[in-house]
Amino acid sequence: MIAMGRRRLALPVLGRDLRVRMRRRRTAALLGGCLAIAVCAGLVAYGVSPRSDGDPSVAGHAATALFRGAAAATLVLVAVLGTSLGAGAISGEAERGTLELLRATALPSWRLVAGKVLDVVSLLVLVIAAPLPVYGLALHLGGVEAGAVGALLAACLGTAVLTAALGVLFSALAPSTAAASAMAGGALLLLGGLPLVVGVITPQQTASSHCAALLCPSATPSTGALVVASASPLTGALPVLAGQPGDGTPGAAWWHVTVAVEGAAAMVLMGASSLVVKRRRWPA
Amino acid sequence: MIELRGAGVRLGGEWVLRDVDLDVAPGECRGLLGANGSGRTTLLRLCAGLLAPGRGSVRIAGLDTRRAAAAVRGRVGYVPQRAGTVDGQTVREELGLAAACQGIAPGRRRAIAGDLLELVSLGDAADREVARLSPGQHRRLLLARALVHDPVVLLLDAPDAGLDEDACADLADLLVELRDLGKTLLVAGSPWLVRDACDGAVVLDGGRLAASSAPHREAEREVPA
Repeated sequence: MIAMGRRRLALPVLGRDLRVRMRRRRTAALLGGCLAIAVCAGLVAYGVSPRSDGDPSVAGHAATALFRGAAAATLVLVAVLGTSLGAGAISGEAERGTLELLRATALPSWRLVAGKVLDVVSLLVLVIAAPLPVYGLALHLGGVEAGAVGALLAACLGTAVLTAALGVLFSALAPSTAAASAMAGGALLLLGGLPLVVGVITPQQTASSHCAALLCPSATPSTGALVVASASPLTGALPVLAGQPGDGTPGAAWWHVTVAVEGAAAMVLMGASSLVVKRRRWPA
Repeated sequence: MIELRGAGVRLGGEWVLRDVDLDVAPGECRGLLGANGSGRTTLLRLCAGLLAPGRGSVRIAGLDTRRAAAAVRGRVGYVPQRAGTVDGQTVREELGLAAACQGIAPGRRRAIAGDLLELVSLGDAADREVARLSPGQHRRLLLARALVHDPVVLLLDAPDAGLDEDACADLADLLVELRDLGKTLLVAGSPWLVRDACDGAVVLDGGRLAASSAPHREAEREVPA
């Protein structure tokens, strides 16, 4: 009974994709590149940040700057890689001529889609984990709490799942990988860029701040714009970057709402992708 | 075993298959002939449950492909005309993936893969990358892949493409062997393969069934020696 249940939940495409991906040298190169970008972003953030921002020590200031720079770079990398890798998932199979082979088996379309999303997420987990030494250094130097690192990792994971599911949906809908990448890139700009712009330009004491106060009682009008900006996969972890857990900013409560919304949205997108894979008349 | 009644498929606003009535009995090997674009691939994809009929009905092993497409795919082995490869995947892994997709228990996959590779004469290439196989070897791998779950119906689209003369003869023998094992086959192959391996043939022209030959193998059996 248990073995049968396992077989029904097994994701054979995930196993194949992970095995093949780990044999490629470019995976190691990608992870190395992500770590380098995160470290560089942390160093740049440290270099440009003002020294008199209230930190009790130079070490604390350095730790905060390193953490925020590396985390922001990681978040952007996760969002961009998630959509772009996801965009090649189904359409790539169709272009290679391997989708027909998979569809001709008894494998349900939801298991194909779940395998594809988890394949992208598994790579993104490594991207999220790549700057852990930087976060560890920031924790060691002080100025960053362990809770903030945990919240950031959770928010990054939520963003990874959502952007991967978004990319896979466009991959199932688009006629080619190039078209899927363009569509997914546009959606990412819309989801990530627009709320950020709205959040930045919205004056205080407007609808956004009231909305923020309603959803997050600890939010103040001055953080309303930040909350609006957080309502997107790309900027979902911004409150975490802006505030430490427990200090009264939206970061204290907002990140787990963001992760829950991202998870639910990802499930809806995966369901839609399954339907498209099942119903679409794929060319031979 | 394969039963089409007034089946039609519309792709891109055009009926590429129209009013097809076809019966293939259990244990029969039927050839499918026709010019390029005559609808042979569409007919096979329809039978494999990869396309839903826009008109009429398709039943495979008693199951309606529109209502029970997943169950149909569990009973059908399909070799597509065009199939790609995933870089880095070996022949054995490819068969393991097909077995996993068909829900075969992990413990049985290796043994099944070994048996099938011997059957299609690819035993020596088990650990070779699929991308490094010759076109003929790749066609044979696709046939092994289609057989991994021991289907009752085999749908083969151009199984002899890229095969040399000897390999074609071996393939014809293999198809006869599979038919003798009780499989029902519908083969869109070259006229030579259909002549050597099939009991009879149907001809498609412009998406319609244009002709149906007598099951010549049966006819041969009836002729006194």
